[in-house]
Amino acid sequence: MILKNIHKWVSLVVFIQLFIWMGTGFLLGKVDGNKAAGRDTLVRQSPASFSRFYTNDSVTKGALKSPFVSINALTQQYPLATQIKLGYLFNQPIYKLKIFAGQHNYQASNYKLIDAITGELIDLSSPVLVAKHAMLISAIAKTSTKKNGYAMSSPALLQPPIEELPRERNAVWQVNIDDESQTSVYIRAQTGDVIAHVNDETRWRDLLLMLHFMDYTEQGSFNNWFIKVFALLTLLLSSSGLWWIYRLFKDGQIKLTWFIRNKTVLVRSSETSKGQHLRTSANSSILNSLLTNNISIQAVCGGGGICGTCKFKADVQLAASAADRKHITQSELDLGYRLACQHLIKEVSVIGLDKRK
Amino acid sequence: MVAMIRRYHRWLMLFVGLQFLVWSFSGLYMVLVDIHSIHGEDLVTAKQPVLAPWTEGYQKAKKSTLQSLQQQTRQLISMDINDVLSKYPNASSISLGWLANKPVYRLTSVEAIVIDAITGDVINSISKNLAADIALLSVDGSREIQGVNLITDNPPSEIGFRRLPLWRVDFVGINSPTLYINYTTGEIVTVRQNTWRIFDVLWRLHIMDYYEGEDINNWLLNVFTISGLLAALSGLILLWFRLFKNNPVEHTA
Ligand code: FES
Repeated sequence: MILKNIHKWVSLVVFIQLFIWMGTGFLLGKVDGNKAAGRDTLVRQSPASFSRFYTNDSVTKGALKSPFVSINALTQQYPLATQIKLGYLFNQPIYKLKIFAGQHNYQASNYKLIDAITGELIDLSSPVLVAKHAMLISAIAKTSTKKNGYAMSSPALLQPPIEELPRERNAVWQVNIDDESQTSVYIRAQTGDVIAHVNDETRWRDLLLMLHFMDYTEQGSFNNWFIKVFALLTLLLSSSGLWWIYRLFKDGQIKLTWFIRNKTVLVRSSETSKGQHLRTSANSSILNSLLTNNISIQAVCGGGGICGTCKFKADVQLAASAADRKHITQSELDLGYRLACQHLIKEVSVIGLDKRK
Repeated sequence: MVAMIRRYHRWLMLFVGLQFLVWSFSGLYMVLVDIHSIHGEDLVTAKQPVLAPWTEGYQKAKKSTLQSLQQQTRQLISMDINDVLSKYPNASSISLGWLANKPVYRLTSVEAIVIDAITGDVINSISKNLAADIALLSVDGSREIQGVNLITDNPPSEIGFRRLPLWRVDFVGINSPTLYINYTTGEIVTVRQNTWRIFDVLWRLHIMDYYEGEDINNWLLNVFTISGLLAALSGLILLWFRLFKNNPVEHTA
């Protein structure tokens, strides 16, 4: 009985989430992963080599021996750098100095961008961008996407938490493209890297993930307290349910057979004084056999062994189940009364049904 | 009606009940164990030493102050980035960082090249000892190495399709942490430990894709999800009857 009560009350708490989990799980399988990750619109730039700064031709007019700011000069000015990388910001050679970074790019980090030729600091994190930088961000956004000819918003600086990038802990620039899937290009302000193309498919996937992970505070994580509690309760629900099934097997209330074996029993009731022969499956419960043959019997809980309303009188002394003992008095048990949902047709040959009280 | 629903609930759960247990157990593990520790972020430190003390300019600036009189002499970076690039002008990216406790240049040209920034020597491959040093220096705290092995073929499934050869450095400990290190560049490719390995198995069970562990739209999962939804729906109806319809009403089919 404790088992059945646990099963009932826990299911009352978690049932909505069960539907959400299975529903969102199913729908997540239908999401177009490539599109949601923005891979269908993202253009990966392959960086140009630095050879043009070294070859001596008519364009460079006698190559510079040291076109880039020296490591010495950099470390004097930025003594906290732990890694120095020469690369490109759009098409301009820049140094990217790593002061600190986590193991994932979205974690809080500290990078500095330096013009590799002039040594000037390039600060893309200021909310009021100098016109040159604003154009740069727009250009980066524009060349990052395969979609051409759509209106683009001017860059807006967002501080974390960022609605569409729940895990991001760094400031980002957002450029919205007015295409049919409403793509937003996100560029990390410290580094100028394009970090995401978010479109309607991404938003749909993220909504499903948020619901699946119960991430209502939008941390971009499934290690939150709501889901921990619900997962624990759900484990309780499924294990109590499985235990219940196991008990039904053990008590012989569920039988798995390859063939349907039939058996004829006699049903005596006040309505049919002589009794009525019933040919029905030997391994189905007495209750279900009566109900499917339109013989009326009370069964408030539908065969759960919970309500105690499905009483009948057997012609033999059947082993009483726990539910029998809970709902039927000892003297009635001695007379052969049992619950119809607790016994199978094959256990009896005569079923006695009392008059309605 | 209730009897019919109860029967559906039972038979459906006989079919999907075990998967419900698998879903809830694997789900519970995944939400309880912090994903960052699964990724080994509490094992491998993200902190790296600063480069400045290995450069001449910085050392000169320090010498001018009194307190650096007993400055230890250390070998400094002798090659500037411009020197490296004039030798390898076809590089498309170059960085100055760390290989164990040595400053090195890493460049991508046709292939990855690692150059010792102090001596200017090209480092062709990572020796076994160096792999052990890299591993020891990148983990937090003091740990003991159990074994260092080079993987050239038959990669363990836990590293997926990562490029070989790789150094596999196993640490002692109940969590059996393993670091995989790139044989040519010395970079840490990935970290695996038992919490990750358990997570991986449970994830496969959770999505019912037992071989690839990737497809969350496989037919088996879909069949179980749909049956699961029906089973839960029948359960919900039973719950509703148990909560609100407990007055003795006659039910016939
Ligand atoms: S139907 Fe409720 S106990 Fe049998």
